[in-house]
Parts: sequence; structure tokens; C-alpha cells
Amino acid sequence: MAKIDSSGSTMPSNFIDDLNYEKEDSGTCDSHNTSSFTLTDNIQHRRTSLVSQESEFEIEDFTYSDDDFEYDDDDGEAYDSMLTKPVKHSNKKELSEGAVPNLSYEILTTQDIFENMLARVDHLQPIFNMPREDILLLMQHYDWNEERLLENWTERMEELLVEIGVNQADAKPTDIKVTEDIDEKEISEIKKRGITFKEHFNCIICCEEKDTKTFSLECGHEYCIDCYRHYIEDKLHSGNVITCMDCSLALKNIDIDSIMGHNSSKKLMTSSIKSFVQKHNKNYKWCPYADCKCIVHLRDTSSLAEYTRLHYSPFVQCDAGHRFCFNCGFETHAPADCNVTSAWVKKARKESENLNWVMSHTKECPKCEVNIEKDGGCNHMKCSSCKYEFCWICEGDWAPHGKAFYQCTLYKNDENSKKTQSEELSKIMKKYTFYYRVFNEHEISAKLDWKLGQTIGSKVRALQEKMDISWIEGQFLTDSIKILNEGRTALKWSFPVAFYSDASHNLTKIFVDNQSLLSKAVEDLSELLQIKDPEEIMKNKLEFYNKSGYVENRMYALMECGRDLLCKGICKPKD
Amino acid sequence: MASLPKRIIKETERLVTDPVPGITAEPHDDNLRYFKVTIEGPAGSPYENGLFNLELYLPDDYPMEAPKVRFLTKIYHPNIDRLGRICLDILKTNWSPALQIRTVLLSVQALLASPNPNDPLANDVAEDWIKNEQGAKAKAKEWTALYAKK
Amino acid sequence: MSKIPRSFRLLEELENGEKGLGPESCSYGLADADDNTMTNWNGTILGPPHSNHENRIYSLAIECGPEYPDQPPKVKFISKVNLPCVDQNTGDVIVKDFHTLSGWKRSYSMQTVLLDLRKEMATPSNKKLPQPKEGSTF
Repeated sequence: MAKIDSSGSTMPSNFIDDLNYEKEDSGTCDSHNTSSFTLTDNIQHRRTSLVSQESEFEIEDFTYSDDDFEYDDDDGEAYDSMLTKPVKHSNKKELSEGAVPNLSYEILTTQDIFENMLARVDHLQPIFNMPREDILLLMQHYDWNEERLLENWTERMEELLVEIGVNQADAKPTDIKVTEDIDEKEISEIKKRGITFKEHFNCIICCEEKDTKTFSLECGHEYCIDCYRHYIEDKLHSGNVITCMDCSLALKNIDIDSIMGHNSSKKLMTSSIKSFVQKHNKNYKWCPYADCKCIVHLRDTSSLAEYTRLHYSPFVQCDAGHRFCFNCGFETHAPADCNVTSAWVKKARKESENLNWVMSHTKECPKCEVNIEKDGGCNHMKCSSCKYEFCWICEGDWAPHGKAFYQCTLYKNDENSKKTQSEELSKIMKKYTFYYRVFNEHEISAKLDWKLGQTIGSKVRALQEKMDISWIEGQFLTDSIKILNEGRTALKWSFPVAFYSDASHNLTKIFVDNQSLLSKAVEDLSELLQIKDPEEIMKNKLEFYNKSGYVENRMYALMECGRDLLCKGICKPKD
Repeated sequence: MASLPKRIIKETERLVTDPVPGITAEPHDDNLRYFKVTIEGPAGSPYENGLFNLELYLPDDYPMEAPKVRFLTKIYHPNIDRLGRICLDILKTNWSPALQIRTVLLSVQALLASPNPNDPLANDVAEDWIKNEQGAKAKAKEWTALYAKK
Repeated sequence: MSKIPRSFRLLEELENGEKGLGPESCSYGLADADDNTMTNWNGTILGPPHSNHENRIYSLAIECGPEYPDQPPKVKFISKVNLPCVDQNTGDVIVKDFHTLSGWKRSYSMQTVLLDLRKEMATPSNKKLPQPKEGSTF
């Protein structure tokens, strides 16, 4: 799985001018009831009502459409109600996918969260009765945890303002100077915040004397603009409040931007929001896909424990269409649950050094040893040189695969002779290697299928142009590739389940049979999708429907069976 | 070597012309960013009468980045580990470019006067310090006499 | 670029090693945690796959003298290994036969040495060399 890209920012360039911005109607949220307060309201009343709100930034109440299925606060009840209420069609689909039904979440970006924070600042403004920029500093300092900020605020307002660097401490800050030749008069002058131009300025940071722009806060600690830029640049990534180099007086976003000459404070704010997301990772998760900027926000995690017990996983989908598990951050991994997934991944990581031979995309034809590269997800290979047809996974003849059962999903134990302990160990290793290899092959196939999917758009267009078929009518192709992807992913994650299952149990045998059926279904569909000629595609339209419908059915059956193995304790992951 | 920043030249000059009592710092001839440092153990501490050798290096990004400092003399102290590494906030997160070599060395001297076993770098020493302060101080004194002779 | 002194350079390497920042196929650490001259180090190399070294773990002793990193460290295999650049009697890595040591640069580190030795094991001419019994030492 790819790492989260931490570099990019999605903030618009104008947000700093927009502190007084008007909340956009995003359609997903209603403004909070506190927004109805007016300035004339009793301050005390307002304060208590705000303090009593939920923690963090419960800015908006989101109205979810799943009114037919509400979680109770009590986990147990939620579960009970799930069992007693008639299961809707969509629920049933989610359940058979091994997913938590009706999971309520929203997709955000750092930008959205920051805008929520700004809205929050607007709400808080009457309480603090100070500039929004200053409230923003307070919020940033408190990691956007409004409740804690308000608590401390009511207790020790004055101290807090000094501590965070909004106000100057009364005591004159000690000033250690490298050089004695700084004009004493300048220090005793009442300093104004901002940039000035000085001739022969002697900066105590770089000790250079030059004609330069300088910057200083009200504290009078004045440094040349170059040193200040260097200093700020180094700190933008931390997301923490940036202070004067010599005292705790804080730089506001507006100061940062005027020093840097461009909109650098947005970088700081993005870093700060990122650290907020990191600190609240129970409710906020980054989409784990490379370069994806989506953040999934799950408000109510209370019901998840119960679903975990039943081996359902909280699968979510971000705005870019990436599906992943909110709990473990991996791609959708049904029929495996999070435990099986993490055990498997840990093991794979440990063994990968020894196993990287399986990662290769090329193989020699088992007959004529010509190098063959796989260009689609389909595992039915035909050597372009000697025309031998074989299975990519087991390298055996394809003929038996095409008929009835696709047996190469099954690891065959040869239980002939008695085994010594070391042989036993190597047998376990062999078994693992087998499962790992198949898992890996399906992963590679899934990637190739995905590539194939990228070309689907042009195929659909070709249909439209050459066959005079409407866009809607051409969608069966897009749907087929989507189902192929899902089926392949499920098949892939079924191997860890099979690996950790008690092979002697009947249910495991049923599971393996189900694997074979799905495997066959997936390969058939994959093969169908290799067709390039538009006319041929249209001729097979019904086949596409049938085959993808079949994949879907087999997939649900396999997922249910896998969950059964987990619930009954037949599949137990171990390191 | 690239030319030495004016800031480092000034600081070095001042360390020589206006030395801090109980502290010496002198750059190596072949590397002007690399200093030989000695600190006298503060009076009233278990390190009294000891003379501790340290080394200090100003990295490329100094003063935006903190100096690197390490004890060369063995010392029994909860915030200094066996390799002489020092756990001091201003050398890490609380560094500010307005601080200088002399302020850093003064802070190290102050750390000798008041060890902080609750924020330890050398865990075993800190444990000893919390459990048996008298014993730990005696050991620190013993080590001072043994390794930090003037 | 200024020259970072030996001790601070070694402390950096130590911290990278402790944090496990490098690749998993090699690791190293101080041989004696009390030695504040940081001279003697232990290293391990996990034999590269597709070779006769596969699945083997090799132990090495690395000595960073007073002139390190201006001068290369002395490197010696503890585990027996059959490589052209290793003295078959002592286990010493022969400087003139190992390009990383013979063409030493200040920017190289102990990790460079270990990774390059691992690469050496995987070269086409070396990977099929017969290897002594696993677990034997010089």
C-alpha cells in the first residue's frame, strides 16, 4: 500500500483574505445552532452553552440519509436493532460484502477542515472578543481542541494570552546581544509590529551589517528579513505556532505572509491541520492511496466494536473512489478481517526478502522457455512462440482449469512420508510460500486489471462511435471491470483466510471450493474483457452481464463463507 | 572550506575576549566550527572541583539549527548518557537562533547544578537518582574525582 | 559544506542505526555501549536472494579509527564467507579488492560498506560461489 503524501497542500491561495469568509453551502451540512446567537446575547449564557458542547470541533451537524437505521449510543442496542429490524436491500449487500452496513462518514480535505475551523473561530469570536487572527492562534496552539481551550480560557485568560504569545509579558525580555553596537535608543523606542527598511542595520542573528528590510513584533526584537525568512521556512512543516526568535510573542499568519512575501501561512495551517488529523486518528483517517488528499471522518465509532466481533469491517470509499478499511487502513480485504490482514501483511513483510522472486512480472514459458510478460489480469496464458496454453499461477496446462473446477487455488499437502521437525518447518514455509505466491499473483493481476480498466473509457467511446451505441448502454463494460476488480480483490484476500484456517475442517474445504468457483468466474470475466473488437464486444453483451453477475454472486458467497470461518474460530491468524 | 559566517566569527571573538567564568571554548585550527570546550563543575554540586571536557560543533545551518554538544569526560548524571549525549531542551525543540554558544554552555553548566531525573536520557542513572538521591550524588562525586581531575 | 567531526558523524550513524532507518537487509550497532570513542561496531548482512547466500546472516566487525570518516573503517567478517575481496584466513575485507574501501569518500558510511558488500555477494560472478558451512566463523 502506498504512503500518504505529506507534501502537497490543497489550500486555496486566498484563504487568508477570507477570514471573514462566508461559509459555503456544501450541501452536506447544516450550520450549528449556536450560529443563531447574536452579540446581544448574555455572554455568560453563551459561554456555558459553548463549553457544554462536544469536544473537538463539532461544528456542523451532519444530516445523514440513513434515517431507517440509526445507531443508538449503546453498542449492544445498535446490534440488536440490526438483528430485529428488517434488513434493507442495501444493508444486505453491505453485509454480504463483510462491510459494516450504513456506515456514516464524510469525506474532507485539509482545506475543508480548516474552513470548519475558521467557521468555529467565527462562532467563538463573541466570547473572546478579540481579532479572529488571535483566536486562530489560540486554536492552533490548542491543536484545534476547542473544549480544552475554553476550559483554560475561563480559568486563566491573562496568563494564556501571554503563554501563547498573543500578548507580551510585562517583564522586559532579556536581550543577550552578541555585539554592543546596537543603538540603545532603538530598543527603548516603542516598537511597532511589521516590516521596516533600515540602513546599516546590524542583525544579531547573522551579525551582518547591511541596508535591509527588517521585521519586529511589539517586543522590539528586530532581525533582518533574510534571517526571519530562513527561520520561518524551517518551521512551516511543524504546524506549531511560530514565535519571535527571542521571546514567546507569536507571529500571526498575516506577519508570516508579509515576511515571506507570499502565502506561506497556508503551508503552516495545512501542517497544523495534518497534525490535528494525526492526533485524532480514531475519528479521522487519511485515504491511504498515493497522492490522495481525502480524509475520512467517522463521527461515531462506538458501534464498530460490536461489528468487529462479528468480523465485519468498516470499509469506506473516498471521493476519488478509493475503497479501504477505516479500521486498519488497508484496501477492502473481505473475506479477511483486520486481524487476518495485519497478521498476513506482517508475515509477508518478514518473508518478502526471501520471496521477492514471486514479484516478477515475467515468466518463462514452461514449454519453450521464451520470456512471457503478462499484459492483462487474466491468468490464462498462451505462449506467443509455441502456442502452449498454461496457467500463470501454477504453470500447469490450462486445459483442466477451463473445465469444471479450478484446482490450482488449492495447496496440495503431500502427506506421504513421516516428517522430522525441520521438514515440518520447511513444509509450513512451503505452504506459506504457496499461499503468498498466489496472493501476490492476484495482486499483480488486480493491478493489470486496473490498467485494463483505464482503457475501458476509450473502448466505450469506440462503441459509441463505431456501433452507434449510447453512453448509457455502453456502461455494462465499465460495470464489468468494476466487478472484476472487486472479485479479484476478494479472491486475493481469501488466500490469507485459507492459510490461517484449519485445513482439516469441512468448512475450510467448502471455503476452498468457493475460492475455486470465484477464481473460475473471475478468470472467465477477465478473459471476456480482453476482447478488443467493438462488434465482438456488442455481440457478447449478454455474456458480460451474465459473467459479472456470476462473479458478484460467487464473491458474496465466498465472503460469507469466510466470515463464517472467522466467527466459528476455524480461521485463527497467528504470527 | 567555505568562508565562515560573520556570526560565528563574532561569537568566537567574544568567547575569547569576554570569557564566561568557569567555561572555556576554543575552536580547532583545522575546523573553525568545531570547539574544544571545558566546563568547571558548579560549586555545591557533586561535580564541584571537576573539570569536564566537551566538544561542540556548529552545523551548516547554524544559527537556524542548534549546535551539537557532547561530554568527552565520563560523568554520572541523569540527563547525560554513557556516550556523553546531553538531554537539554534548547539543544533540540526549544532551540532559537537568538541563543548562542555561550548561552548553550551556560545551560549545560546549569544542568550540572540541577539535574532533572524526571526527564532522563540515562535511564539507569535517573532511576538511581530518584530512588536513592544521596547514593547517586555520592557516586557522581566519586566519578568526578576519578575522571574529571583538574 | 563544513566538515562534521568524527564523533558527531558517528553519533548520527548510531542514531540512524538505532532507529532502523536503513534497509532491513543490513544492520549495525556499537560493539560496546560504554565506549565513548565509538571505535568498534558490529554489523550484520542478510544474504541476498537468488544466490548461495540466500537466508544466511553474516556477522562483521567494523573498526572506525581516529581518522574516520576521512579514512575508511577496517572491516572484517566474523562469519565465514567465500568472496574474492575477503581474506580466506582472517576474514578481513581486502581494501584493494573492494572498491568501496579503495575508493573511499567522506560521504560513505558504515551502511554504505554493508550494502556494497551485500551487492558484492549478488554479482553474477560471486553469487554461485560455493559457501562454507553456515554458522562457521573465521
